[in-house]
Amino acid sequence: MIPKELGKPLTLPCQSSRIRFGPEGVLFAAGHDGSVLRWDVTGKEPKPLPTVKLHNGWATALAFHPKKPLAISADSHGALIAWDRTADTPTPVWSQPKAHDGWLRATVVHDDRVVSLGRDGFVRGWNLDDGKPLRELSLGVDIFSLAVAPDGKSFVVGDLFGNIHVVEWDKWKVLSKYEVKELHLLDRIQDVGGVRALAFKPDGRSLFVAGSVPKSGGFVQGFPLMVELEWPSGKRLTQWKGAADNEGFIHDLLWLDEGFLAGVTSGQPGQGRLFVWKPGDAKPLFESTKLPNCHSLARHGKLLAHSATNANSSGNGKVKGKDGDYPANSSPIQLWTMA
Amino acid sequence: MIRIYLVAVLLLIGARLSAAESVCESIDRIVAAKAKADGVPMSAKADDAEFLRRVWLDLAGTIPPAEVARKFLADQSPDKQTKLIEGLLAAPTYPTTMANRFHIVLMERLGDHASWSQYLQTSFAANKPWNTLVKEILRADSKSGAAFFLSKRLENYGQQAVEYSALTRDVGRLFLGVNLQCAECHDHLTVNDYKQQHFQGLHAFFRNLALGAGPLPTVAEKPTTDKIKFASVFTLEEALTGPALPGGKMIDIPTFPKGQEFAEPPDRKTNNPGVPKFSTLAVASEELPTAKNRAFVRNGVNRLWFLLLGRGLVHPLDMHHSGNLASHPELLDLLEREFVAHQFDIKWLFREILLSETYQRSSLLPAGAKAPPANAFAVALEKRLSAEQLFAAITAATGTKPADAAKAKFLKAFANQPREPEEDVEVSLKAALFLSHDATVLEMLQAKPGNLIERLGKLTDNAAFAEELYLAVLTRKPSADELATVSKILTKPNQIRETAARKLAWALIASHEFGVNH
Amino acid sequence: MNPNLCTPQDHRLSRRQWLGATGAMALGGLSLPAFAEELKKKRKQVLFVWLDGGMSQLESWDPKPNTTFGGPFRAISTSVPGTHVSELLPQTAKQMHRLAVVRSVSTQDNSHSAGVDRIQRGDPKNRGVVYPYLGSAVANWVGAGDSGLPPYVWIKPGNGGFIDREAGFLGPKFGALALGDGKPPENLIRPKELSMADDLERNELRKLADASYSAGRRKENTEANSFAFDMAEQLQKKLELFDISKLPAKDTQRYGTHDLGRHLLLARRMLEAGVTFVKVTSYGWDTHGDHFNGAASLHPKFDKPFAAMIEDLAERGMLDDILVIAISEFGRTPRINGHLGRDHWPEAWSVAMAGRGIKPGVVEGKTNALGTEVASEPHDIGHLFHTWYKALGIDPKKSKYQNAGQPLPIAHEDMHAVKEVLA
Repeated sequence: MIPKELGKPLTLPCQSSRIRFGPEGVLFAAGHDGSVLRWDVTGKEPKPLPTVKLHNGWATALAFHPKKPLAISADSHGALIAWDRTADTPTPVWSQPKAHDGWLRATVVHDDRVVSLGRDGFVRGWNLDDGKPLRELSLGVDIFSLAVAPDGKSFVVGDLFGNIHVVEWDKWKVLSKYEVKELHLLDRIQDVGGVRALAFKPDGRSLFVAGSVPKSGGFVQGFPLMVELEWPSGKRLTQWKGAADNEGFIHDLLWLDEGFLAGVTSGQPGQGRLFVWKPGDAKPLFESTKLPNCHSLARHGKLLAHSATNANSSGNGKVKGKDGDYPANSSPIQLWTMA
Repeated sequence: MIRIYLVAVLLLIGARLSAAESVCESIDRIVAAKAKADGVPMSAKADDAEFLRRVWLDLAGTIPPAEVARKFLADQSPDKQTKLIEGLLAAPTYPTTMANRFHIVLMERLGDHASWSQYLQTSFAANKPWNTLVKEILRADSKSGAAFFLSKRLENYGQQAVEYSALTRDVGRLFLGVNLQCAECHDHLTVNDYKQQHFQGLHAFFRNLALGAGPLPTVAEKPTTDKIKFASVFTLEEALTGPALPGGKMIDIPTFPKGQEFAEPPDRKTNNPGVPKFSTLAVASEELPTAKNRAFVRNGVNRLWFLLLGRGLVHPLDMHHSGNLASHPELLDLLEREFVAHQFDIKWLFREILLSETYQRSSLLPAGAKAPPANAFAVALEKRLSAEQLFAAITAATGTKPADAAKAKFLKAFANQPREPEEDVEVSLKAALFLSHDATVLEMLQAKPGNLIERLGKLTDNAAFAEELYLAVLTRKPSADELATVSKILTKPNQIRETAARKLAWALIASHEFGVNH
Repeated sequence: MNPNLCTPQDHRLSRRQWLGATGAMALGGLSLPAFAEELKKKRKQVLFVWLDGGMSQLESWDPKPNTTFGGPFRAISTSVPGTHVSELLPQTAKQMHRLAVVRSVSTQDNSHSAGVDRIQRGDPKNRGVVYPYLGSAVANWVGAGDSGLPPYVWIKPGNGGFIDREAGFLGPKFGALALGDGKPPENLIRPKELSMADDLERNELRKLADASYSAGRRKENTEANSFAFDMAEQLQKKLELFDISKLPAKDTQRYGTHDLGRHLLLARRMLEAGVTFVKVTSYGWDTHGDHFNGAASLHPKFDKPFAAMIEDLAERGMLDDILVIAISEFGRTPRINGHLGRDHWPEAWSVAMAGRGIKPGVVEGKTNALGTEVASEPHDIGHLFHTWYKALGIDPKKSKYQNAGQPLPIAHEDMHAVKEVLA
């Protein structure tokens, strides 16, 4: 299960912390300039497609319907927008500008419903076709991650405090709560951590919960941690914890059919990796640290993509670029094949 | 340039000195000469009482009992002071006191261990030379207890990483007199002499250490195979360094075939961390505490001087650099030379200082003069008393049997936080409140069989009362005014003698005169 | 250890090191206020809120949503039409009509160790002496008043005790009495077995002993020792101040039960009791990594009690007497690093203030659209010190320190007050 680099990294005009593949093999990146960038990677060379400019703040999340040509995207100002992903210059099919009060962190599409959650502590369900509000659940705390169980009967929400809330799909009754307390720390007055990524094993037997074991807030030092919970009992099975406290968070996870998990970490500037791990192993069987500070990854068939950050991204004071300007950072995306 | 000139002059003077003048005389000559040149008047010699108390606190870690004080003050022999010094240097209280004083300096309240205090005790009982002491501390042999200096600094708590930077800094500060704290990430911003290379080179000796397993303080060393790569956060230029003392030559790192780095392989079963063939710790212990390492010699002399005089010839003690010269460069150079010539003999250096007029000067200003700069050594400086000295002095004064629980409370009230050196007399609200209200202290001032308050309570003669009080607490006789004040209190209507004793004793114990070594 | 970033916590110059580098220190400097009469007119007090580590101006006072460096948060309107702050300060937004914000602050140092000292000392011209922190300086110029408490109280997490290093050349008496976690010092309460009369008498005897000892000797250490006992005596009379459990529940709710909330509430008590200078420190603001989640957690914890404080002070008429300052050692970089954090940024940041002598509801100065530069007249910390002294009625032309016979300016002599924020 060793990915092989495919070509040079794609360059982006901005940073991105969420990339996803659409069902047609188009790679989408939610940009921190509010745009959604696209590439058609099905051909020999990745072909950039027109950028979609629909959002304010950071574009933060992406979801797609497997059959209908809809893309759902979200932003940090709280908007949720549905648009035709096959169009060159899509206009919104529907839009909920105040889907959440502020940062909308995650969204999924399942069964003709869109689910979103955000910093406002709400989980909301919307009709896929017209965006009408269907369900609402108030958890009262900052929430980060969302995943639907493979049997479609429930979904899970990960919060700031390391809790995983299990919610029944139809009426949204809260069924249970699992705790991975190591993923949170109250350091002085800062609550650090959170369940940053969730991924179910496709056979529905376990749920992978990931984030960081924070050592301190502020700077943020922490060890990446991923815990396997038996599903639906919530019992702890395997786990993997990073070796050094500068390795930070596991930001994104996905399951590779062949029995492995792929994930990305980002810690102190310069730290971070793409890794592939078999649950139960002591260490990942593959790691790539070539591109530092990795925030997201996505998969389409045998293709894998992960987004990272350019080198030398940090520095106190006014760190100037080669031309004497003050450049922003960006998120290169590396493609891989898993032959 | 000036350095070379000085060295030339000193070599000349040195040649003449060793024939004619003792080190103790040299100290006085040089200090007096500078004071004269600067127009600084010098204090008179300390009187018997001041001298007695000072020497006791310095060498025995406590104040003398009233009876001893009484006898000494009455003694007419001309050489009683020299005899006192020799007696205290030879007494069993000397190693115990020095073990504690050096423990405070070297461990800075990071912690303690029975084998470490035992190590210090036996070392000072045997008058172990300073270079041997530092060598053993750096070699960190777990059987000796000396390993504690390093092993304590290799501990980590919960998720905290081991603070290798702090360890490196401490070695620099305590054994070389340089604080390289702000030279870790770049050359020091304000001290030109302190370079990032100095920090990183020193760090290279210690970064492969780890806390070893076992009940005794143990240091484990992993093999050092590579140089350290470092870069200034300002220039971003990368550099490499192997182990190197500040300003010293870089030690080559030998390469061994993989699997053959250990002379003694690690053994989990016996908790043996193994001994690498190339041990940076062994090299550090051989190279750092040597006569040819000027910084080591200078720092040693300076810190020993400080323990008796209350201020280093270079001050602060860990800021030796060309922008912070010694107050008496000729004296420092001379002491360095002589210290080396006497094989780093600590007791010898102490004796020379103790016998000098400079040490025996009074803290009373010369009549009509204003306070001279501290670094003139023209007037004796007040020295901080450690929590341990205060505890010993207060229990001695009050006639209380020292108990561990009480000692712990004193440590909490008077000792600094870890890594805050206890060099200066500091304002302490905590201490003032402790002395005022703590139950343990108040307990010591309750009359108990044989203690001070009980004794005082029985003395019906006011003059005898005052003398006993002042001798027991302040190691001197009361002045006429003080006698008058005591009498006034004692003769107040309805005054219970015991209550008066309590108030008077507390006032003296809480007074500044008691709380410092002057 | 990341070679690009110094570890914030232990990269601090100690007073001793500073002395070693800059030469000998003159202790016991006297000051000569030339306007003793003016001092008595109106009370002069300061609340100094120190957010240690560097609060981001882009997530607080100077938001720039939808720009390259603007980050994910929105800007919200405030009680001052046309003025916006970050969505992370919703309560403070409602108090903006009482605040003045300077958005054009540009200072010299991007390190914590030197930066903290330089900001709190006003970064005056180097005279080879160690200048006092603002708290010690104000304690010196204004004195303790009739509060019966030390003039400079510092409420902070962690350890308490008397911190004399902040006094610089003024000498230990002008240090800060630090209340660790807002708790009163240990052993503050006089035990029942000791009567007040006995305590008084024995302290009189102690003072007598000290006077006779120090006659003919150096005085500094004895004075410092007496000062500690005097402070102990004064504090004992003010025990009820420390007990914030006696306050109405609505206060604890509005300020919050987290450290900064409790400490600001205690600060209000201290100010009500007349303490001249109260500093409240919050640590942990140095969000080089995961900054936006960090700010999402931290900023509201400042916002809530700070807004409550402003409201309470206004309600009680105390804003006439008390100068309020909220500040860090610098702001944070517009550029967002790979760990989604912001780094140190003294180039263009903001400081907020309110109260005595300050014009309410104004914003002075601005940064450019991206926040990468000050786009109006830049103001260094020296300018702010001039401003604050003026607000307190202390004239830098007339008041100079006298340190061992050398007159020294109270703030950077080439700088001037920011008149736009003065009432």
